[in-house]
Amino acid sequence: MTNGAPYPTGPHGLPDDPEISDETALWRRVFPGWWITDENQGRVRPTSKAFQNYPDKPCLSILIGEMVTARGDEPSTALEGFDGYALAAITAGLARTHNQGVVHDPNDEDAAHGLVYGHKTDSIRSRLAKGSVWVIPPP
Amino acid sequence: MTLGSISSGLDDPTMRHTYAVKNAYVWGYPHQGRRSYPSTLTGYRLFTVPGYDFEFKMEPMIDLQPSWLDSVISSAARLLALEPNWDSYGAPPIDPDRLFYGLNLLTSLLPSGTPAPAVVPTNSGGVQFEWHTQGIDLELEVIAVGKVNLFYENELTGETSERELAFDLSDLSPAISHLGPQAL
Repeated sequence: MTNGAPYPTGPHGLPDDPEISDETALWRRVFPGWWITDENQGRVRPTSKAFQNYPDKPCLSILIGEMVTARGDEPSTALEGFDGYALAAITAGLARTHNQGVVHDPNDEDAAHGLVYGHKTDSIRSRLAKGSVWVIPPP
Repeated sequence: MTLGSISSGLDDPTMRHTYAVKNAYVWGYPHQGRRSYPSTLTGYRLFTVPGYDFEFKMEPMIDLQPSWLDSVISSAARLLALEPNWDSYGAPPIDPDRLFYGLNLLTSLLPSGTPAPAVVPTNSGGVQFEWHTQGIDLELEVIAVGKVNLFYENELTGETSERELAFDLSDLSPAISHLGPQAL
């Protein structure tokens, strides 16, 4: 949502934009200390801490993948200036399944910036991390 | 071996963090370019990460050192070197008090044969220890000194637990026991 207009409210009472489809990939930068070996899943994946809200806000930052690619940029542009980081993705549908709202929130840094709103319990963070896929895996 | 047997380096007045726990002592202090500390004393370990601001010493009060010790201390040292915005989303540096509390918690609670946890920084400046093995997901987040958040999920039994623990950490033991030495 742009130009200072209020975010639409979704079914959970949280900001949520229905124009962002459930299939939309939401990209999240992953710090090099934020991937772990999950022997239960048999893979290296982001820790649940990679999907924690800001300490002082009820949301976390993402990039809306299709907006990045639609302007002709590669996913790697999301990691420019962040050597050694990886890029993970969850779908908007996965977030909504866990009572989260998804909105477009363009900022000075990136017009494709968005937010995933909602309280994230340990269980929800774990579900988001386990349901994530790598767009750019750890180096 | 007692605290008094450690030589001059640990009398450094700049030392900021000292905690005594059941099995070990852990120290951390500003580096300040000094590297004159002994590293070969029996039962005495020196962990140094070149270029980082902190060094660690752990002196177990028993001869057997836990199998996970080296891995955990090495990971922990790296966390203390993190600068503001390390996560690219504005996270503050890691709070040494919470980190050292967590390390001492591990030395107090984990049997030697327990698999080493992943040591993960949190965006509030805390630390989380994680295991994902044997069908178990166990996450212990130090949210403050004396306050730990427990997340436990057992895929095999369907058991789940998610709660905050303060000072009475006895609830951690059953969860940790499922990781036991047999998981190695």
